[in-house]
Amino acid sequence: MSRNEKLLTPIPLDWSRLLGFDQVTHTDANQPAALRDARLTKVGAKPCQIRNPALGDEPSLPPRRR
Amino acid sequence: MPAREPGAVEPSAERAAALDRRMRERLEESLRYLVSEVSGPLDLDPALLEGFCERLRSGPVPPLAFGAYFELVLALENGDWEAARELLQEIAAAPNHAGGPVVLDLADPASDRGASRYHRLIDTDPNEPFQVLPPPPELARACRERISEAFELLGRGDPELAREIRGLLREIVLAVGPIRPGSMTFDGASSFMLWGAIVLNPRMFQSALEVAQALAHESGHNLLFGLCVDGSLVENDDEPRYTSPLRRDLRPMDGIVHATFVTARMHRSLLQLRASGALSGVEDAEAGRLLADHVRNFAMGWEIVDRDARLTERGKHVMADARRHMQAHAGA
Repeated sequence: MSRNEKLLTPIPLDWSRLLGFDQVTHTDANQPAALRDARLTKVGAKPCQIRNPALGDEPSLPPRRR
Repeated sequence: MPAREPGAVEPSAERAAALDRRMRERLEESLRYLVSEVSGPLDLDPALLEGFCERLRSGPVPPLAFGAYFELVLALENGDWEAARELLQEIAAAPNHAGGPVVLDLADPASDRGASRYHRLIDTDPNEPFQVLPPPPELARACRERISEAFELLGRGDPELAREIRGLLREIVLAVGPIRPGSMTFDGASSFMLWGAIVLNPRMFQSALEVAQALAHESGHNLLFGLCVDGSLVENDDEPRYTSPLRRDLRPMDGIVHATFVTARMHRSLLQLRASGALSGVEDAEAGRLLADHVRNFAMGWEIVDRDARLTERGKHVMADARRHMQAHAGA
């Protein structure tokens, strides 16, 4: 196998053995894009209270902060 | 790691240390599996990670080492073998963390590899992209002072929480969001992929009490990451979105559970600080306002969790404990 072929070849992974990714509950393997999104959703960031300070865009839900 | 003692809402430094150990054990197991799969195709020494695994067993490692692992998995999924090879070599060289939490200013993601990883692993929601940027030096300096004051406050008034936070967190990264019209910013952020790190936005905190609440909040996400290292808190599919008590945008049930739990955690800390007598008069008045907010937000989150969440046994335990706390102290 050439180096270029290697670069294009994903390695099948057993996701149940991978830290964090084993929590994913979206199980439809026929939708790989959705499955990838689900993996990132589960292990991805938890940003808190996103808002737009330039517009004075205070959150519509309390509390004032956090 | 069972979430039985002393209850999910009550802080425990001992539990934090156990969760960190378990997270490192799971990282080692996963890395050993990956190396067994890829060392042949990538022409790598199968013993490449032996030194790092020894360090993993001996003590904490930097959040960016966890981040490198997650980027490794994604590189392998994408078939980007060159990136995978580089990430494995980076992980192999990762040292133990010296201890913390260390407060860091985010470097420029355009030129700094670590800052770039922080950015990538924080900006993971395709529906709500946002930037993290280096903080202005003056803001960062003031925020460092408030963080120091917040730890002093927690040390006097909620010492077990202070110890737990120190056990959970390796790095507190200061970063701001853009302020141009139309852009989105944040108060704080945490990610499973950056175990042991939180990001705080220094623009958002005016007092030590606010920072103490932010520390309780963001470390609470890390606590939940640790508690679900062996399994999720919910069985809900991640696609349906629900109203969040702490976000304007709709969130998956996992996010609702997190937000509701950390609200109870902030509420508990405020009660403890008030009862300890550690708050000044001004802080006590602010605490009273925040407590009312937390009661309202918890009720909002709990209503959704109670109606729509399919909690695992672990999730039931965690959320029942949060509910018990709020019922006992706020009638929520």
